[in-house]
Amino acid sequence: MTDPVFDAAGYIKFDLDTGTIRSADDQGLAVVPLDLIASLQPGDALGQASRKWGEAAGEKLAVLSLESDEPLGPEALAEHLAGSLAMAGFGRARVNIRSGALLLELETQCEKEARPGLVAVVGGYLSGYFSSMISPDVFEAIAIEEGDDTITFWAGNPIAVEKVRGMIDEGASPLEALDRLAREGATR
Amino acid sequence: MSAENNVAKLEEILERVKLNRIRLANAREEAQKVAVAPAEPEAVLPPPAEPAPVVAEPEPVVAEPEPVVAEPEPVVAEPEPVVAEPEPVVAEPEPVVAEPEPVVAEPEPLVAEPEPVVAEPEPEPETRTFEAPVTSSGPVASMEGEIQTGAWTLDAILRRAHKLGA
Repeated sequence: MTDPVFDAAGYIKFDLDTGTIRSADDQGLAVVPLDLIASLQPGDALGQASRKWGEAAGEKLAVLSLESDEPLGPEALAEHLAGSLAMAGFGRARVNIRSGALLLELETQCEKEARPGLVAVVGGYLSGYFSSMISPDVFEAIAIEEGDDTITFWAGNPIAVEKVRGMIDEGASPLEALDRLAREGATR
Repeated sequence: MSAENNVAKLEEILERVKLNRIRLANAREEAQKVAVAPAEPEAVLPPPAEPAPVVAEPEPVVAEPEPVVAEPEPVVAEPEPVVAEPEPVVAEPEPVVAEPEPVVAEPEPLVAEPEPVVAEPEPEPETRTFEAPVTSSGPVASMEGEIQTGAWTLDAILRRAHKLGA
């Protein structure tokens, strides 16, 4: 794993004359308070923009996978994904695989009641990120559990997402829903 | 001196006397001529002035007496200072405040030592982090057929996750 503490020089370029911040791949950026992002109202536009952002990040990992002599392992996924989220200042991410389900736990500093925008942005980001590596199939990532400091996202195919949402609405815990999903999937 | 010389000398003296008598007679004749001529009127003399005091201002008989007693010498000499220059009672004060300690301690690094982004594997048997090696048992057994090297590949993880619930 690379050193998580690093100098952003070379990754992000600040141009005070033009008032612009651009990433290494010349993408326009903005440094705004995290609370501002967290307070955004979820919606289709926010979800699509976040998804597009995640796709661009996931494509980079996909390129690395193609260029690598050895198949990339889960370490590369976790490192790249967690690193990109950390670069955005969203928090510390951890990838878990539970019964085949792809989970991401995000430790955040946003208050639980004041982070609908953050949940929507990260959910859209993960959807685009994972989808870019399994195209033309698509992933959809949703938050299945929120604690005071942690948000647990799960990424699956759109049909499975609807099933899990239904089970949670019926009272199942998120982990129970995923376990049931895994058992049903295994029997098919 | 010889007698001849004396006679000659005497004759010379007589000659001189003779001449002097002639000169004297001439002078008397001239003096008589002057006395016969009308004399110049004499100037009227002013009355005699007040006679000057005969006695001048008497000199003081006794001179200013010399002071009998001279300026007395100071009996007591300039007193020596009884008390010597006092020694400073208080020594050079030590600085009250010692060299100030730096108010701000060495700043803690703003970024704490980061923990690894990925945590240790969950203890639950059905949960694995990306660091967990692939095993032939447990909940990931169904992935065995897709794994060639004995370790999870990213592609296998994603495809398995995407199939879930499909």
